[in-house]
Amino acid sequence: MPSHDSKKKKNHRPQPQQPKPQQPRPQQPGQQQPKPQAPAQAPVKPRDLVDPGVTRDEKTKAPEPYAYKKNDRGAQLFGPDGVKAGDVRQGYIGDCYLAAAMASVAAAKPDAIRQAMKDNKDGTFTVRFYELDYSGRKTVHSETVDGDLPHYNDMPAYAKSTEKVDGKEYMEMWPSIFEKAYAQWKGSYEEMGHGGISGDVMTALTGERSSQVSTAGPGEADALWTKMKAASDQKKPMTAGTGGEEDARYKDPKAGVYGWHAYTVLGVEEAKEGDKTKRYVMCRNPWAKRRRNSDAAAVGDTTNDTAGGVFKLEWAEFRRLYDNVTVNG
Amino acid sequence: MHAASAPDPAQDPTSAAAAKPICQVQVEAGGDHLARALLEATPGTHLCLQPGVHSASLTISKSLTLHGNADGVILQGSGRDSVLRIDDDGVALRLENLILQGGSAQAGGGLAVYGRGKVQVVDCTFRDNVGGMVGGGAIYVRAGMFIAERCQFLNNRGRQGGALMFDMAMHADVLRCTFTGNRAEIAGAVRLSEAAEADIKASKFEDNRGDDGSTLRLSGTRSRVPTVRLDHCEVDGGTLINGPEIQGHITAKGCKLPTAWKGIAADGGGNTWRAAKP
Repeated sequence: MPSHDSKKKKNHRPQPQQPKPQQPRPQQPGQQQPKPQAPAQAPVKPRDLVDPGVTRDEKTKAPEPYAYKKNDRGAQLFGPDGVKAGDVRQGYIGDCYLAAAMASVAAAKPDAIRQAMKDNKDGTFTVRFYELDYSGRKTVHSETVDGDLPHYNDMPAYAKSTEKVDGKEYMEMWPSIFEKAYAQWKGSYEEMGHGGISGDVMTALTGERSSQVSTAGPGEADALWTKMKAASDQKKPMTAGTGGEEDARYKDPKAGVYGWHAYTVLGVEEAKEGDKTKRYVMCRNPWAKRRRNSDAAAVGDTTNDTAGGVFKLEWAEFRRLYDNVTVNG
Repeated sequence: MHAASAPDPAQDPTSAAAAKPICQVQVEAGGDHLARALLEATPGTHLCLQPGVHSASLTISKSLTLHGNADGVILQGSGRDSVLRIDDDGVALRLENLILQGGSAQAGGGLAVYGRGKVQVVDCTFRDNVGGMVGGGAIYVRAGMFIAERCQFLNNRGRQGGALMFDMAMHADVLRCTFTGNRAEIAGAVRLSEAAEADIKASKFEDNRGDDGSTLRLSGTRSRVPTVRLDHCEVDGGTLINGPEIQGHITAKGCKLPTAWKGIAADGGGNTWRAAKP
């Protein structure tokens, strides 16, 4: 995988263990249903929406690896158990920065996501984004998209959320819809699928400015801990980024952390162990699993498929593996 | 953590009104001399770096000048962060006669500017730096004012923008610089996105390639677009990509450009078009 985010080429597929489609899946005739019509008073008709993948295809004639599939499962924007980090799973595109940021805001400020996204009840959804101008002033921008998503193997190809609640499988639309609206805002999935700054996505959701700090500064370990502890206590969204994928730190499957990748920081904690206080950082891989399947098998990680990508690192190990931390707010 | 966005003019080393710089602190090469000097320096200090290799990967949080006392003064990155980075607003930094090399960061392996301030690099060389996750192998700037004058960008690698990536809302002036052998997935030399604005004058681009074939690429969003003005620049090859989905503004005047750029860059007059080098 690229590593995660570092998908190298045009077919952004972050998780190599997943089979690669051999060719574009043809749209089935049965899927060619007319898009829902917006009420007359709606400002945007679904058929007028810019569909990022389709736009790319029409303009460049480049093969789009995935066919769009209509949202015909009755999927809901938000599931019955609310917005949470575990809803987010990165798909076959180099936007770990976006997935990690969505999960971080979902964990720390779920209401920010609820307030940013609106189901228009006509098959479309409107997402409100914040951005900062040259002077650092906050401005607002909104995008409306429909629920049609690029699919592969009958699942959304990009960000997705599936989970079982009370034995019933739900698909929550919000990660997919937020990603689609973000792609539309930036021009296309292709345009936003070559890496990015997770702090910008957190800012887009919360309207708060993000700041990034290095984990490797001399003598700054305590200052960084203090900053992260305060952010954790105050429920501020956080992400962490790793260094180059060719780095030896990311070649060890035991470490279970990958290069050029963005992670959600769910929080930090201090625990008394004997007469010592140990520091830990709770991380989450936006793949919703910590390791690639092959690495999990190699190290005997039997929880890889069930832990949702969440894992805990000792402070020193966190600083060894991660190069930067971004705090929003 | 963010200070006021405008640098204090009295401490702004990039200000024309600033007193003629004199070396206030001499910094020996090696060890952690530079890190300690930065820690101890008061805002506005002019540090002169002695010849040799200075360990860097350092965060600049106050307005300073770093001046190489002779040719070959190297700021060496650790490979775990940018050689230099600025996180806070209100910092004015001037780099003179330095070589920044060996940095590796998600963005801006040589220099990453996140804070809104003013950064000026003069007679510097950026070589063999990596901005691997986002881009700007040599330099990534996303806020404030950036000026590069008589600089060389050699063999840097970035995901977007092998040498430079200008992002979000900022302005750049690039004057009499050379870009050689830089590589990226997108835009071998320079990438502009969002509302970034750049004036690139009297600069030369040789053998810079993105995997997408581009030397320079700009693209906007549905809320804002970038602008780049090329003035008396020379480009030996590679493509210019504007968009494709959301195009920015690009004009060229008095430039020598590959024929393939014709019609993509608005013709400001006086351009000559030639076949790209293979």
